[in-house]
Amino acid sequence: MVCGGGGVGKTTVAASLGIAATQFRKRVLVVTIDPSKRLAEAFGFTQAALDTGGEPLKLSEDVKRKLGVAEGAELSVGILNPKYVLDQILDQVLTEEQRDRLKRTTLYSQMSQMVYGLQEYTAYEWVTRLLKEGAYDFIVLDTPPAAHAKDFFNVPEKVKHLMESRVFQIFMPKKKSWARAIVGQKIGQALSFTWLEKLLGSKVYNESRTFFEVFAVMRGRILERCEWLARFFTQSEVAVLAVGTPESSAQFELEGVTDFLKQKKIPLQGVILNQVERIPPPSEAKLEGQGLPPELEAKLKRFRENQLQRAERAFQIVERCRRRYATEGGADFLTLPMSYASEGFDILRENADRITQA
Amino acid sequence: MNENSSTRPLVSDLKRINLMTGKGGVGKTTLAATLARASAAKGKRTLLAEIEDESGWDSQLARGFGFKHFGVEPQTVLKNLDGLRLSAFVGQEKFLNSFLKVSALTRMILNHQGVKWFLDGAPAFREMGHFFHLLLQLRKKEYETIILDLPATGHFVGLARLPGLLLKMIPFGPIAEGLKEGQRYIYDSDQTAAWVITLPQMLPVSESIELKNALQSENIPVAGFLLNRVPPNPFTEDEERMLEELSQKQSGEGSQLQVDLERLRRLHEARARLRAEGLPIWAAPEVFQPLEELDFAERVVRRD
Repeated sequence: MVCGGGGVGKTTVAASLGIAATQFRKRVLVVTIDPSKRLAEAFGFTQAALDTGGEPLKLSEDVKRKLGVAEGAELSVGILNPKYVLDQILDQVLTEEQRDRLKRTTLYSQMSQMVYGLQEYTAYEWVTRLLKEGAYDFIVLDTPPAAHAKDFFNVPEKVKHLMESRVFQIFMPKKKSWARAIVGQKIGQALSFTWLEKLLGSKVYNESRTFFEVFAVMRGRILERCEWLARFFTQSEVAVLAVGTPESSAQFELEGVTDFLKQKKIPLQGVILNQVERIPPPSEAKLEGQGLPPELEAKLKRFRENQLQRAERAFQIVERCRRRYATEGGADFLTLPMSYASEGFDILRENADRITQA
Repeated sequence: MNENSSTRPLVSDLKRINLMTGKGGVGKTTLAATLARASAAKGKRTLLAEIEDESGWDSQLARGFGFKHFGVEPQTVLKNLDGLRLSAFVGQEKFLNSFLKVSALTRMILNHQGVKWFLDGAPAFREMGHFFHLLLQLRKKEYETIILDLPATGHFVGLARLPGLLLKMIPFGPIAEGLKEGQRYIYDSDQTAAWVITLPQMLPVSESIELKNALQSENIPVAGFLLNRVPPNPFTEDEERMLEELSQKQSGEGSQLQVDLERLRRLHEARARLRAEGLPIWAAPEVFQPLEELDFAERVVRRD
């Protein structure tokens, strides 16, 4: 599992990790969510494949060669489509009548975006299914973007909390009907819900009711899955990697996620610092004798000093992280340089080589 | 160029309502805080708002002003500057109140545990609460500048789509009126500006162009790109050309001069691609300190 804050190049790192893994495993899968167009193109995906995406796709021989995938190994890439996964779950759990009623609602199309934690939950459901099917012997899960990197680990708890809300009990099928549920409750509730219906209008009110009724049916399964997920992270087959950059808000996120893991007793396998500026050796800083006008040479010197300061600041942060996570924390530690390659292929291959060597 | 301190600072071009948008990690929060400070320093009554974090972690924005979170009522954080956390529950309550006029009744309805669970769990009701909480601030003419630090890209496009989606389901009644009123504010380019924040790198630029298109297709007036973390460039065009020539003469792969020039090349490329979108660009210099240690006087966002 690869986690990290926004903008740290998490997806690129996850993909590189998958490529590197083909050196050791034969059937590798990278699961990602909302990849950039460029990355999808690097994998050879068309826009049509992205739009209708469902199951993971095997990369073509041509793409594999360009990415430096090991001879004889297979690399598949799965792009999560929350709605596709949700539809599959609904197909398993609901009766045809319930399913049709839910799918007719306007809210349904937006549901995976609108219900907090549902997108992350579908990622888990999907990965769980792929694991069970046993078609892969190494899976890299690129965690979905969230306000905070640590949110992802909190999803089982959040979804559980939502599912345990008593509102579902009000709509539980055993109560048989909405009317009877009201009769069984206090008058205040009946009055409140009547007001709510008046305020919202019957369409949205009924849609929301359908939503709760349907989820009440799925509740048992989701709760069971959440229990399982809470234990998932601590299994020996699962390794958590945190990705950051030397940039200050990325450091804030990295500290947040690693502290959170420690608190939840989830082992941290490794930390990868991405986009680290290289520090030039002093020999390269020499400019004398290049025939530049003195004014330009002075400007270049100042510019260089600023660059050097940046690189040194990054170096200090790298060393601080190395101490904190590797020396004291016992996790693996790796830095990946700021990449100047413009081709998606090159960045992925270069990173994969570094990961393999490490 | 960014070195030229005579170009216009962004603070003079802020609209009354400013939506700070962008992908995660581009510096939205830092820039929202910077602009809010600059606006308040000009003597304008300013509100800096963010949407509550559902998972309850500390707010990075509020931390920059020495708080764990902003309050759900505007709270003074600096002279002329108030901070506010938009809360779903507060938005729902206040809106219901304005409609029912009898607060005892509102309280009874909202405090009913079943209804609470309903509003908390049903899709879109949270977002509707945030929307209405914001609307109440937009209505009041108390603030000359409102700056809203929005969550990362995907979610915001969803949020922008929300009023239209809900209006399809609730075409009449007080909620519909509220949604339409909110839309009138947000779609009005005289009052509202969405700023798309990005970095001078290839991928963030592509993503910011996609975001700009998505916002425009939702009728949100995008006022410009804010190019963040712009490296200092002391060279004239001629000088850069001279350095390019020199770098080509130097053989060594990945020499320092090539690395120097590469950053500038990426900056020029980012500018050119953003310019092609036909919107103004504003530049903010690169800084290294975390928000709470920033020297805000040094950090002016200027017309590029």
